[in-house]
Amino acid sequence: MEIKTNTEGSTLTISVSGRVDTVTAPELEAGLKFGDATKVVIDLADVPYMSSAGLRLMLTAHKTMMAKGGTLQIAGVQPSVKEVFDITGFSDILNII
Amino acid sequence: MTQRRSLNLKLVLSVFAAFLLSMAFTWFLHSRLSERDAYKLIDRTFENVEDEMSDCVEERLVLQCMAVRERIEEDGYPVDTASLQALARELHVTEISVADTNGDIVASSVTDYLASADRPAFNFKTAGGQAEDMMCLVTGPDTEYCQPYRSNTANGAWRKFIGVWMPSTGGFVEIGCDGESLRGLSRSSLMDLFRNWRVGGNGGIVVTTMSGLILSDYEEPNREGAHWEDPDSSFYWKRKEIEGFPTYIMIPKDSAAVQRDVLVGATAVLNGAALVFVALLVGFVISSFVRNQIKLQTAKELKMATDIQLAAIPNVFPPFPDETSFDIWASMDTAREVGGDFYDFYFTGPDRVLFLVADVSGKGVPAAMFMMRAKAQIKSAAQTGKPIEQVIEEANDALCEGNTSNTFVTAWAGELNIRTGHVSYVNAGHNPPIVRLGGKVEYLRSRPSLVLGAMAGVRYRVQELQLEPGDAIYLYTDGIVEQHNAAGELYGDDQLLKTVSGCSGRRGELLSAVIEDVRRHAAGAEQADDCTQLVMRYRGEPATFTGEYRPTMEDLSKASADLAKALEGVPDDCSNIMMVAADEIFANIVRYSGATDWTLTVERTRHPDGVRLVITDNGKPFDPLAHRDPDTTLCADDREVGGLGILIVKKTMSPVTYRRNNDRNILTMGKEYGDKN
Repeated sequence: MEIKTNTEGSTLTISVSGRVDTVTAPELEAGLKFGDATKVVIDLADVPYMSSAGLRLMLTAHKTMMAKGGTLQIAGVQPSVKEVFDITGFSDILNII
Repeated sequence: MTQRRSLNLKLVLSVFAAFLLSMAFTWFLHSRLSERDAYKLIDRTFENVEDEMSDCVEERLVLQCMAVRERIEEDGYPVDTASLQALARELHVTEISVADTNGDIVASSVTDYLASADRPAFNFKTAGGQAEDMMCLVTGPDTEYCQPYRSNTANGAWRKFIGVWMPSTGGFVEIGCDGESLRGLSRSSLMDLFRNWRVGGNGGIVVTTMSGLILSDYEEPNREGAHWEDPDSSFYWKRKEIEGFPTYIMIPKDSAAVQRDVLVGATAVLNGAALVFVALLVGFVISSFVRNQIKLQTAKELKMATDIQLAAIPNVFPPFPDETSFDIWASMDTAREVGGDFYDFYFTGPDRVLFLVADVSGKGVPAAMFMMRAKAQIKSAAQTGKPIEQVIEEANDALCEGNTSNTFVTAWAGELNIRTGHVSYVNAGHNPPIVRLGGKVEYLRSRPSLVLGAMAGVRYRVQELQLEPGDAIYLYTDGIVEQHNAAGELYGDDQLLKTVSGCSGRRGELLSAVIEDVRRHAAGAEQADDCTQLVMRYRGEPATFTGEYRPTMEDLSKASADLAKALEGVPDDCSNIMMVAADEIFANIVRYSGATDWTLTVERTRHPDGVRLVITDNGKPFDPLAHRDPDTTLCADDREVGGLGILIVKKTMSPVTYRRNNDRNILTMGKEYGDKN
């Protein structure tokens, strides 16, 4: 798994590459540090699929950003990931662009 | 039957007894009624008779009194006692008196009434009682007055007094008659008085004298003067003395009973008819009740027979859920409660499956019983693992034994080698199956052998067929092709071929499609015969991977890698979601199951293309399918992640099955993709 971060002003973009499952989720969890950013974009364009281990991280990230009044956007969602988001109702919670 | 006959007899006897009882009662009642009516009629008639006789007698006496007056006036008035006594004797009256307007007796045949030295004349006005009543006569003219026969005021003697007004003096003449005089005077006027009277049909009135001589008789008009005797017991009768004449009113009993006889007769006819009707009705109700009970019992037994028959043939589909090399689907729609058709399939070796469809001649219970026998014989022969033609030959010999009813069975039986797709088959007089070979659908026509059960010792010809993955065999019974519509047109081979060609046959849709098309053709016409069909679809040997793991994150990672490798060539949308589902199950096993080892088997199938995962573990029993789904509509703050993994598995995989076997949880999940044929 590869995690790249890029900050532009107050916007933090985290690009994830590789599958997100039980094995890789701890690695991603460690990489989701938002600092002072008020807007965070998680780019999943290179994530072929995500299991419920990843969903937990997305939910935590969403709650964290909400708590400090910021926004979280999920970008580049692939079909398999989208399917999981839809089934679990996460499409309604997360700000997917 | 005997029971019913004796029931009918009892019914008839009791109805007849009831009838006799009711008739006896009616007879008794009407006898009493007719007797009472007869006496009532007699009493009422007596009133009329009394009036009539009094009128008659008094009319006669008034005439006599007038005659007396005439004679007195002729002879010159006043008259002396002696002349009056002579006159009285002449005219048969007891006494004669003449009174003036004051009511004083001025002349009389009775000297006691006349004035003498020591007393005045008898005065009607002052005498009071019966005598005073006579004073009405002085109001004249032409008055007349009769008194009843009673004791008189003057001296208490019994007399009947009659008076008439006397024009010459304004007083009146009175005659008095004792009983004998009365009878003497009245007798002639009563002669034949009641001759034409009839009482109660044939009854009548008889008047006699005190000495028993007949004056008026209704029976024989010329019997006057004959001697009378009281009527005998064949009459209702009463005797009454009227004006001194014993009078009888009598009604013959048989005449009075006519009405009763008519009534009883009519009642008998009506009651009889009503009882016969009631008896018939009750008989009908009872027999239809009994018939209904028998029908219900039969229906119940047939329902049980249906259940037994249906339980005897395999009816859970898919029958071998772990078997990926072939699919088999079958259905049986019986025309009656029980049928003579059957299908069957079972493994006869590790990689050999026997499948067959058969049709017993005849229908209903006898055919069903032979069907059960045929099914058992073939199966028991097949369990020996012999080649199919020998299985059929053995079954045939067994079925011929004691087959006195000459029932026979047509059958098409095939044996598939699930590794190679090779089919050996025997056709015992059965309809040719339809085969799909390499996408081409056609009848598999071959010369059939003899039907089963017809002749022992017959050799059965075995024939061969090679199936490739995706090929299929469709078996059916003649009930399908021979179903006719109202116009008598058969469904037919061509239409069946057309329907089978147009249907992929996956998951048994073919079977329901055929049945629907047959029903459409029948358009409401009755199902004539059992409709049985079976489709066997060869899918070929799957590509398989199996790995064994320990409950560690390292092994979970290894299993994911193994699965990813095994899924090479599977389209991304399928493999990605399969990876997700597998990850959820793996994580559950490693984290929560307490298992010490677990396995993953990956099977790749063709026709249709698909993947099936079998994941087993020796942890504590856990059926993920029994889990309640989490609420996916809550807002972010309320959401939990637990349970979502299983939800993902259930929503994305099909079919998903769970079972517990040998202390292991066994979860299978599959997904198909690509060409659906």
